[in-house]
Amino acid sequence: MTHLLEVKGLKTHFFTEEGVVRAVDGVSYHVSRGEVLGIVGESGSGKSVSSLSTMRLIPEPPGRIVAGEILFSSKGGPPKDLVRASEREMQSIRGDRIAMIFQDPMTSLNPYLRISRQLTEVLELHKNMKGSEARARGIEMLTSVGIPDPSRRFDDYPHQLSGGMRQRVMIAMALLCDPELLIADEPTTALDVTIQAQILELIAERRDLSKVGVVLITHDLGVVARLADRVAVMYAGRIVEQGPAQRIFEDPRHPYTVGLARSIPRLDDDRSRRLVPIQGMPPSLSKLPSGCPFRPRCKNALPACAESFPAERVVARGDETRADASRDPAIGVGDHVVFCHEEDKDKVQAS
Amino acid sequence: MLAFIVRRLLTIIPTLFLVATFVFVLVRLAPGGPFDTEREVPAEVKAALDAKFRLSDPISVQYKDWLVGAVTTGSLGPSMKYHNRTVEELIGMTLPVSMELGLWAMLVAVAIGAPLGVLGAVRQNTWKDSVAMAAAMLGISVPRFVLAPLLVLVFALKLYWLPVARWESWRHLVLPVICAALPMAAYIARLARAGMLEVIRSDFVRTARAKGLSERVIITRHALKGGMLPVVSFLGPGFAGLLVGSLVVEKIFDIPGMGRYLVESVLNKDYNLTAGIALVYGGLLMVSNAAVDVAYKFLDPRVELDR
Ligand SMILES: Nc1ncnc2c1ncn2[C@@H]1O[C@H](COP(=O)(O)OP(=O)(O)O)[C@@H](O)[C@H]1O
Ligand SMILES: [Mg+2]
Repeated sequence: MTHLLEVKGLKTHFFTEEGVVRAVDGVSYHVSRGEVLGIVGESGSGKSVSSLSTMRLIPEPPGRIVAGEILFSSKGGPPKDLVRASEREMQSIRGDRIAMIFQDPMTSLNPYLRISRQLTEVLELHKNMKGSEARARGIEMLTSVGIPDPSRRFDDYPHQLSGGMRQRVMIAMALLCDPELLIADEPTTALDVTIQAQILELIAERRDLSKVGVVLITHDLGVVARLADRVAVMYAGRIVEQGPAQRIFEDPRHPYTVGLARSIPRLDDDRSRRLVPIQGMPPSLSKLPSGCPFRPRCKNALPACAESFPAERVVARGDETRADASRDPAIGVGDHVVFCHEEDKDKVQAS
Repeated sequence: MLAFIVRRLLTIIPTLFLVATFVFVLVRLAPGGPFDTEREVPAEVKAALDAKFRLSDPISVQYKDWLVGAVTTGSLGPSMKYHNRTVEELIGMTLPVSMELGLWAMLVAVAIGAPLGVLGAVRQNTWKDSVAMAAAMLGISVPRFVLAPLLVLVFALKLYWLPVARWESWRHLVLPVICAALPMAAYIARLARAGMLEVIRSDFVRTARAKGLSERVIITRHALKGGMLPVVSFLGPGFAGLLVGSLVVEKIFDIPGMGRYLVESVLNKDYNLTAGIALVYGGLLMVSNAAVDVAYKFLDPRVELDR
């Protein structure tokens, strides 16, 4: 079946004076309608660059998509490769079929324009909606994202709202045209914990109501645990492990995923298992080590790890991992795969 | 809004008072007096002149009389050089000329500088950007006393398009206005480019892109306001600088503006005229800064009215 979004072998590099920054270096994932894909990884692992690539918003130069396909199937139609789409085509997709919300609601809204203008311009552009009709739709949207007294807030400037309220406005703005795909790049990172929970709740609600597919980017595995149907773990511009959320949490295979899982606080945990931060620092993306980029930090590194980036290994097939039947059978389904030489070692020994 | 403007203008008064006091005292402290000449003046003539202009009174009395006159009747005293002329008459004659030159120059400077800067930012690191910024660099480094003769040479003496000097028709305006405007235009271009670049890189412009807006709408609707703020805040002191800078321009193009009278009054020790013109310059600077604050309020909603 065709997915809503299927990214295949995406490579986005930045050609800087210090050298080539391989921010995204061969990444593949997919999202279906009504599904939340969580992309996790430390800061600097290429999560934002991969999502900005989907929107074709990479600053060019210095950046460029050097390889891969980004297949987007709008309204169940045939997949369209966004890497090869013209700027004009992208403009008609952005904000209409694919919408994006960003990390910092304090700086992501235009401080010089009223919220009303920032909302209605989207409707004018994509829905040809003007005047009182656009106004009514904007206020309706503010209501549905839980902004109290929306018709008064509508004509406020962003600085008159709190951080949480601004992120709600961002979400309202993103959902105005009923997009098929929502990319949320660290939507809760800048907010305090109670507001975080509310915003995640809101995204879950919109997913259920309008069946929007969501790419949820975060460095916080805890956030992914609450919302994601499937999880992709990114490290140094690559996906090192990917699969249904439940499997990733219960049976993580990659040493990096294991480390990430250990480094999140768990309320149901006993005292003896304390937080264990992963040792060392992520590598510079312009001076990657040979082989597996996680090798310098990996306790289990093998000689093979210095030689090549490990091949994909399927831990469990998609049909074995099918989620509970109460939900759409296409959601949360996918192979559990890992890229690690250690897994290969097991396989070699087993065979 | 109106209350804000009125309040902002009221804050000018104490500063203006300080400026008045300062210039009044300072011109009188310098050695010499208005009626000291190389030629020996008969003692009784000098005494009569000093009496006429009250120069023999203690400075505090002179100051009190001058201030009372200025506040109650708006009179800035008689000129000590131009007989039977008051300072306010002389300012009344010359200020409109200087303002006309200054305002036109500012208009031209903004009209050339701002689009050039925006172009440079939007087409950053292309040949258009390089050409615009090289021109701006040149405009800033060439002083007006070099620029003026060059302009005259080319457009008046070689091409015969425009008159060499004087202040009669609009054609007389062109060269002095350009000469006064170009260095300022160059500066504005650099400010506009820097301001736009910063805004173009900002998160909210990325949001605008993510909405699918076209580049043109992104620049005009989302980036321009914030990007022009540095230019707007420069316009206040910039206009004052233009008036003072037009001193050179007025001299070269033989324009009967206020700048020329300021220089002459200082050389002649025409106390009242120097103090009067300095006061007008100070007032203009403060009013244009106030205008900038008001404009800022219009552009940036985060600026609070009640401070
Ligand atoms: N405009 C750019 N120029 C050069 N390098 C960039 C640019 N944008 C991002 N990068 C690099 O790409 C890498 C990945 O960044 P990013 O995707 O923002 O990480 P994440 O979102 O996972 O924290 C970083 O090393 C960053 O330095
Ligand atoms: Mg990021």
